[in-house]
Amino acid sequence: MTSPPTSDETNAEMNAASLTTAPRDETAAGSAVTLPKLGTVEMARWAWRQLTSMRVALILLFMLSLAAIPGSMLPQRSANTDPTKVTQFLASHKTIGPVLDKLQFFEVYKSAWFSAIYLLLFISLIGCIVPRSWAHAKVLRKPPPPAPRNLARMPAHFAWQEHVTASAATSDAAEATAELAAAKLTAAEKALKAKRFRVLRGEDGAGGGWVSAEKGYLREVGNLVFHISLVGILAGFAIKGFYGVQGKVLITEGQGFTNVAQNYDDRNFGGGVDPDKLPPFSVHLDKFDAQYESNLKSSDFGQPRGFQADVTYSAAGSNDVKKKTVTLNHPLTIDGTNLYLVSHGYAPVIKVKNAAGIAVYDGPVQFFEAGAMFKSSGSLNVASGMTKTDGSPVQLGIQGWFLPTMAGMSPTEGPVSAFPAPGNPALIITAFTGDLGDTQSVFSFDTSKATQLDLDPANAGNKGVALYLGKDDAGKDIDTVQLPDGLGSVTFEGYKQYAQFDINHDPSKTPVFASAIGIVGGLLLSLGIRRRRIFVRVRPGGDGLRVEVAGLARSEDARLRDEVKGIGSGLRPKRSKQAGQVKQAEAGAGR
Amino acid sequence: MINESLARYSNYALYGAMIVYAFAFFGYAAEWVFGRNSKFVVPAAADAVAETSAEAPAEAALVGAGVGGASASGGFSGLDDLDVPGLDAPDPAIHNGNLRAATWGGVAVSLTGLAFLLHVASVALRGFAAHRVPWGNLFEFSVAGSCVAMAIYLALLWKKDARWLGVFVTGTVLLVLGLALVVLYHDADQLVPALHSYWLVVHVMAAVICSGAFTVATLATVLYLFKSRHETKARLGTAKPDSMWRRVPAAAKLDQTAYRILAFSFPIWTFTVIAGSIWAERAWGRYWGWDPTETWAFITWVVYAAYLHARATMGWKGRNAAIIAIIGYGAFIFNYFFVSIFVNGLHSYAGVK
Repeated sequence: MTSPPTSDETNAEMNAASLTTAPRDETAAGSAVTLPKLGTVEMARWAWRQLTSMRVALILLFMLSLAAIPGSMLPQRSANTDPTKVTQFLASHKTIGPVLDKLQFFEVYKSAWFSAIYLLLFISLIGCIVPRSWAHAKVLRKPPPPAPRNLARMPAHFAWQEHVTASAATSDAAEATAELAAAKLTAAEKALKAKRFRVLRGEDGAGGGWVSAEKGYLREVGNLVFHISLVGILAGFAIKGFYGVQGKVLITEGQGFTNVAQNYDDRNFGGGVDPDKLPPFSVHLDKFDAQYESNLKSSDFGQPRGFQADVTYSAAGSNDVKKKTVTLNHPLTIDGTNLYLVSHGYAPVIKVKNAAGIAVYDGPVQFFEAGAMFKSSGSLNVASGMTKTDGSPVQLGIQGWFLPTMAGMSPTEGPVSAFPAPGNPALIITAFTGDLGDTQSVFSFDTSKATQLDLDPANAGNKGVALYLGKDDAGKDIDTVQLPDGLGSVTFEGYKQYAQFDINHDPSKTPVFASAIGIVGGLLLSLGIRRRRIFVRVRPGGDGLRVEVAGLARSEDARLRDEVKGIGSGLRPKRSKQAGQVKQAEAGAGR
Repeated sequence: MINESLARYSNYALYGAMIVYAFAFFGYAAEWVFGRNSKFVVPAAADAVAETSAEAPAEAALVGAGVGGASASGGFSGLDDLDVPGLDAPDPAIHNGNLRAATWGGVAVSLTGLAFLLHVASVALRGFAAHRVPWGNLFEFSVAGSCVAMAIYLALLWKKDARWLGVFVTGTVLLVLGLALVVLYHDADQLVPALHSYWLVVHVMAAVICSGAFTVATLATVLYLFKSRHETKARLGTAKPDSMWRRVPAAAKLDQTAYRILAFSFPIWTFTVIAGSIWAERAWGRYWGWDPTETWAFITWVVYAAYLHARATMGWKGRNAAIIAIIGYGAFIFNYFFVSIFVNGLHSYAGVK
């Protein structure tokens, strides 16, 4: 028999119960809101006790959920949908916009106040986990605490009286009682051990004794694993923020990308990432294909049904060229970096010739989805190579719509596309010359100081022109427009598709995944396992033996009573058929 | 690709289910109404526990073997004393001993079972019609989720008498199905490409299960709030003698029912969020991005976590914890209807136009 645990240990265990989901009476820490007399150390200790109390943790949980709300309602700068919405919001809310901006409402999840809440929550959590892990580690090495003195106060309690009559073998009644008591306790011990309880047996003196048993220690283990895993998730977020690489790149069919920081269209590197040391793998987009719902009766007509990007790629420093089809749920993984297909679009191939008939631009121009059925818009800035008739250089800008299936002009919406896949591709352009501003990109210019050219002189009030591939029924070229004043010509040569990829290298995935498993596993243990104590006490008294069986749930436990009853039935002698012999004990505990 | 006739049968089954649920609803309501007309009878609690435990097999040999000549006899003193009063008391009945009411209730239960079969058939036929899991848009999600709610109610009914929930569950399910048909309806159709993943099976199925479980738990929680108020009044002697709440099980029992459903669904909800983030990692390149739907799933999770903690905190257990659970359901519903339909995020698969 092992020695009973010290009261000190029991206290430690009792005090550390604040993570549990068990109903529990809180008597000491946290419930008193009276301020103590303050020295610095006491003040700090008091603050710490408050922070690690369940009450404050609850308040922090509420604050966290409240603080998360504005981020889902207001546009966010870091959102993957559309960060330009923040600019739009600020433009349309001149008064409240700047105030919200100052209060970091457009970057809620990186804001000082949101961070403060979750950091406090995690400090509170750690302040709870450490002492509890320590206490539980101790508990795991000790037998259960001794049975309490008054079992009748336990939430589940049964008692009965057994009458002992001395027989020939044992002439002394007291001796017979003692033997019966010992046998009861042994039986209780055996029954509880068979049910895999941890058991401690002790003496009360005067022939009495008790058995104390406890089971369900894994509940607390699960509880701790769950909370530690939450800390693991937070650590994962920190790793992601520091070592993560995120970016976007747009690749047109027939073009490629090498993983060098300069080639990213948009990038967001963690502080621990050296932009010069990215693995220089390369990806080439061979072909992009999309399917759309073509059933005219379907309410989803024109909705996308599938996307595929066929790529050729090779790892950094490798000549081993591989092929893969990247789809929405199947990213490309190279050198620990993932490329996700996130969006796509059309890039009409445009050829611009100058006055001398020399092609000054000839290639795909990326257009962006700007209306129903993949109506797309885009522009091209030809900054050099064009000349007026007098030979002086002039800038040419082209703006336009690309319609995969041109269906005509709407008075309100302009050109209309009838289907997102190319059926009758058309390029509708208008052109500008003059000062097109000092833009960095080939694909944008400023029209505020430019002069619009009339590309459709036959039609007054219309300066644009629609270009189609090939020839019309009369055999006339309809893919080219001559620019006025002999500036040159613009030809719609065809179209390519492009795919936009998110590039992502995130070393936190493995630890976060492990933590996620810990969270679910820990939860299942901590909500599924019942921790409870069962006590059996025998005490000589009356004309025999008084036996008590009691149980104490240390968690929400609907089955405790049945379990205690079951143990009791096992220990109790079979009820005699003769009603006269059955005497119910008075057993003072009924309330 | 879409089997139009199966899709039509699925809709017919759904209409049928709604009609039968409506009859069941009235049956349950009739039980409440007719039950009012009989005098309230306090069910006999006498000695039930002691009797059943006496039937349990006892190891009589122990005594005889252990102590040679000692003869022993005894019985439980029946100290049925729990710290939560009312948990062990036999439930009062909605029909209150009124035979007519009891008959109505019994008929309602049978009708619920029939309607449930039709409901299941509707969900299954949708899946067969579209050759995919039947939860690809908000309409299908609502139909499948209410089916789970009903399954949980029937499971409760099977394990113990949960007829007190009947009128509320059938009413809620009817409401959800009606809303689904009128506001959210979407023809059986192929999925948008983003949903072409087996994570649709795992992640959304878990969410569907939670939607049903949260709904039933919330109904039990609301009933708990009413019943606990009634119990307070009864203690003060101000409760109406024919109050309908007398016929509902003890508040502690309602609370425990709600808790057990939530303790069962909270890990599933956790799993839903985790499976969703694994899918997000596959599809969008990050496991967490504060997309509006993700944010509200997180809020729901945090509020339900607060509920579980509140139950263990002095001053928060009982009614306060119950209110937190209702707030958690509010966050879930907000996410489910408002965010998926009106907030433009990556989870915009509602299919509502």
